[in-house]
Amino acid sequence: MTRTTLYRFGTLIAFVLLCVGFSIAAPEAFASQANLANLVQQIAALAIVATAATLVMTIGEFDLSVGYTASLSAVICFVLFAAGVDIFISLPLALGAGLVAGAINGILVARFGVPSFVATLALGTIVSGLAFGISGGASLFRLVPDEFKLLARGNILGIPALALWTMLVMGVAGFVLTRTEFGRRLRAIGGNALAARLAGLPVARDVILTFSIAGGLAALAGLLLASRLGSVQHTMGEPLLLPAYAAVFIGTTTSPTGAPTVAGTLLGVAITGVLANGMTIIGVEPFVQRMLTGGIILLAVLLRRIGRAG
Amino acid sequence: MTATASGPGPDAGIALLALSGLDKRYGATHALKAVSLALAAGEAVGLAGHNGAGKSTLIKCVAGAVLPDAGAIAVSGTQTRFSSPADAYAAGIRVIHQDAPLVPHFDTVENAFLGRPYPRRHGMVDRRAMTERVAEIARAIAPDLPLATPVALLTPSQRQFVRLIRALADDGRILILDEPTAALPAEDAARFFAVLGRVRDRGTAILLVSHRLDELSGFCDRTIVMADGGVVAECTGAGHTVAAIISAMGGGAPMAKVQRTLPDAPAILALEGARTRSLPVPIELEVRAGEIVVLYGLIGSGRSEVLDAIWGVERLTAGAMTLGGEPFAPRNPGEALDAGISYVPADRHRTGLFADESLVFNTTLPLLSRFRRWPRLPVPSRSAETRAFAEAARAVGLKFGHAGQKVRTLSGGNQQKLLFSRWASRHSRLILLDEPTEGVDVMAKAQLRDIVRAMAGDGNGVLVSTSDREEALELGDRVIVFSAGAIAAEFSRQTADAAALSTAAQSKPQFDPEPA
Amino acid sequence: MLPRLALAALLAGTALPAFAAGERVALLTPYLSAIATAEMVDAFRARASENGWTLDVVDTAGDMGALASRVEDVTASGVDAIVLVSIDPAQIEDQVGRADAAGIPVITIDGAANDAVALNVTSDNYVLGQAMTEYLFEAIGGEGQIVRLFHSAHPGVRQREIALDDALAETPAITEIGQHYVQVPGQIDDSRNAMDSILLANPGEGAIDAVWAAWDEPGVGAQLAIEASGRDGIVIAGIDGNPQAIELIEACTPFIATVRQGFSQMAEIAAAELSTIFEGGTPEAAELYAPVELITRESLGVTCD
Repeated sequence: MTRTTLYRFGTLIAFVLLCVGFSIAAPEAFASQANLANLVQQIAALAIVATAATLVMTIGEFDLSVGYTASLSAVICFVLFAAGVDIFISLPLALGAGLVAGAINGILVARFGVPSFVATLALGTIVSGLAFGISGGASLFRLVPDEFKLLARGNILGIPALALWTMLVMGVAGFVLTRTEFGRRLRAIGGNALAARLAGLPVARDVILTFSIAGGLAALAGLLLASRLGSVQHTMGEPLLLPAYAAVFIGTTTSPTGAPTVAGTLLGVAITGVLANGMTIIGVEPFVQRMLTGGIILLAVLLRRIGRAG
Repeated sequence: MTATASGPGPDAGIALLALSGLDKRYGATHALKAVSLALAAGEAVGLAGHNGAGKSTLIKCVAGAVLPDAGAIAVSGTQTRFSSPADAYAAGIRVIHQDAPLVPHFDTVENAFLGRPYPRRHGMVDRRAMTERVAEIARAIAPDLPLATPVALLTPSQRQFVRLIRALADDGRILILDEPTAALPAEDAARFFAVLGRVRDRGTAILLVSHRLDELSGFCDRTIVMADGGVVAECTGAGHTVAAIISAMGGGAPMAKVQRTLPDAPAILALEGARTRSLPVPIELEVRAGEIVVLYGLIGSGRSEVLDAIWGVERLTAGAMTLGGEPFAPRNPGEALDAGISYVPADRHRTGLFADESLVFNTTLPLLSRFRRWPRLPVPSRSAETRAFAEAARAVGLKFGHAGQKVRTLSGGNQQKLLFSRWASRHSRLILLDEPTEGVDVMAKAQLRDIVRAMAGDGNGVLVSTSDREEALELGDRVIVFSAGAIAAEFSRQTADAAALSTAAQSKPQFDPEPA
Repeated sequence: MLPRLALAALLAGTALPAFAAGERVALLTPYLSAIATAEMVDAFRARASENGWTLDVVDTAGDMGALASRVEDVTASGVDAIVLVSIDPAQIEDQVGRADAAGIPVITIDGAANDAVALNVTSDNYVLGQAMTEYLFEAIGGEGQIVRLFHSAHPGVRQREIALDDALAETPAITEIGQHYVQVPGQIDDSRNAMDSILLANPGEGAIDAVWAAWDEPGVGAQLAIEASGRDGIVIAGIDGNPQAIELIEACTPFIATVRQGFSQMAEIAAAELSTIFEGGTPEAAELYAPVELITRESLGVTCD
């Protein structure tokens, strides 16, 4: 194993060490099947939003609106529930809102050349205002159909539904990115957008499509979170944004070129989730939790830098 | 015209810069052969020669970037030895490259002081002293230049003025300008030389390197012509003409004209009165199947812009284009590709390759849907791709370690072959090649040109855009010369020769030096 | 003479409609997304329109720095009164002091008493915390282990936590075996995830007897975790009288009690006192309290097996 490989697997090793450490500190509680079930459910929404971030980062762009879009779709869904609208209408409408928000982001970036950082921040702010307005600022929880609750709370063959959603979304995204023509084009756009365009690739269309998918995934994450909690606040998706990008960045440390990958993002999400879960189990003070989380992200990225330089 | 190295020019005083017997070898290459040259205060001297004639090495020696093996450099009569660019800078030598970086958000004053100590007053940056220093120079050479505007908002020619001011603000006495007008339209170039004339009149010595020979004969007091590492001529007085410079530059190595028999095919591509935003003069052009048509001209002469129009990068604003007799108006490169056109861009690093991806990735990308595992699903088959890559690599003679290696590990010539290999698996109706052998070694050049001929031999129409005259002569069944955004002349393989091409390429941009 | 008259008429013409529209009141809060805060704001808005005031509502979405800036802005624009909701004026002392110095009365609702503030109408969070804690301790028989879900950054919530600290000091038979600092926003998801972990860290019947939620939303999160774990014998109490919490109490879940702060009453008291100030009077006291109401299964008339 060369030094570079060692660093490349450093993040994975760090993850394993974390798990071992927590297992020793709290063998009954952390290393239990029940906690594994908890963990996979706790990280599901984050994993799906982080997948959206991974797709957008593959084309070399950022989407800062994912958290707000997650809130908006959950708010739309629950407002429609409260108005007595059937689940088969309200769910597609809520998901569609996410797709539309994403498509607008994509059009702003691809057709009007607005830097994605600015476009998605601005649209995200508009979306958060919409969510606030539609919800009236109140917590929504009335007339939620039982079928909707099953989306996140059911389980199939003992596997929690949220875990299945995560596997489905990340599995498909991973396959698309690594195995399909579309994924290949996204990597080309992220690698050299001008060269991609001059090679005849439909760059603008693919960029719009990518942002739309990201919006749709954010909406899905918001809906799953709403199903898991049974209630919706118009700010509920916001805390997903920064950890999602932290997860993607942790994940990039595992790829040879520093490009985002779905598998790497999954590892990043897992590290984030295990940290929060494990530290709460062993009762780490909240301020120490934050310092450790930030420190571990830095450490992973630094190790990678040193590994590359060496 | 004399064939010896020069002393000071006719009206010059004491030599500000004197080079004598500069010699430099790189391994087997004798890059600089005992070059001597003198430059007086207030004198402008041109430096001409083909690529590889030794101009860059000479400039690098004077700039302190390269240490000559032998010979001496004297500044104001004092023998000096530049062991670093800082030494040359301290001696007052300023090299201005055509796109030396400026900080876009800084104004002229701030850019002029970039990278050198700011004047200080009470420990604070003395902005007023900075402005005064710059304004004084600006008044003398370019009074209209706005000093407090961020350079991002200035025109390309104004930015050149900023570079000049920057060089002068810190006591630059000897300016070496490398292709200063390459990025400027003709009228801006005229304005630039008016300013440069005032710089010279302040007593600055100027060495001007340019491919636009009319600039040399129009602006400079005399022009030194280099070939094969040595000074071959000095053109002065009545002998200081574009024609004289061209003839002194010579044709380089004698060329093996490859004769090809052309099939009597109909035109595959025709442009009739075509114009785009970058091509203000209507273009008429035809390419037949199996024919190699070369568009020759300097950078910015319009030849690459014709390729842009055909490849769907720029839309036609007037006129018409037909492909295979059908009207053809691609809105983007994808449509041109679907219509059976292939394209190899210039500047492979910036616009061609994906440096961090594998060789296979780079080769199969544009025609990826040909390598599907199942015809209906957009999922490429690794094995089909690898096979296609191996075949394409063989077709272009690519030297590589393994198919998964990254592009950045290849040599320039092999990177260029990799770009060619994208289209190897396909019979294109028309292949567009922009500077197909730029920045590759002699062997690779020859191999790439063989590939181009083979492409035409297979019945593809080939349209090459190049600034390399030898390449134009060697490849072109027909050579169309561009100058200042328009077609200046057209030659057949029989009528084309080096001098005619150069003369045509220099013909249009009517350079009008201001009376000194 | 004539031009002067015209000028006077013009001035009167522009000034009069402003008076006719009533006083301009600026209401600022960092927590408009919290249900309780929204309720207070809505109640105040209703009273303001009855009184013919022009009300500008500003929300800074949790951003204290921005709140300070907005207070400066409205002070500069010369409003007739500033109402701060759910914020301790000590956190923006300078800005509040400047508004006071400019002669603009500042009233806080659900805030804290302060020299620069004319009046603070609050529910006395300490009393709220006390009422809820007493009920919760009684419900588990005066002994056992509890979990605390808290968020000390909010001044009112902090008072409730002090009430819990005091009660714990007086009741040695009850110990705190877990605590979690709840993140806002995302409070329900965060509380649920934390409670998942705390339940696993404290397995076994009777390891946890009660969850003390500083406000209702973390209690809702805890309820979801307890329900999913299938654990019995754990009760939850919160504060605020959040409708979702009331539904959970009615539905015989582990959520057994909440304390209503009378938010709209607080806003109504504030509006009435502001009227008095506008009429030239002074408030009854520097700090006024709204009544406290305990909501339980009994008060809702529900019987659970």
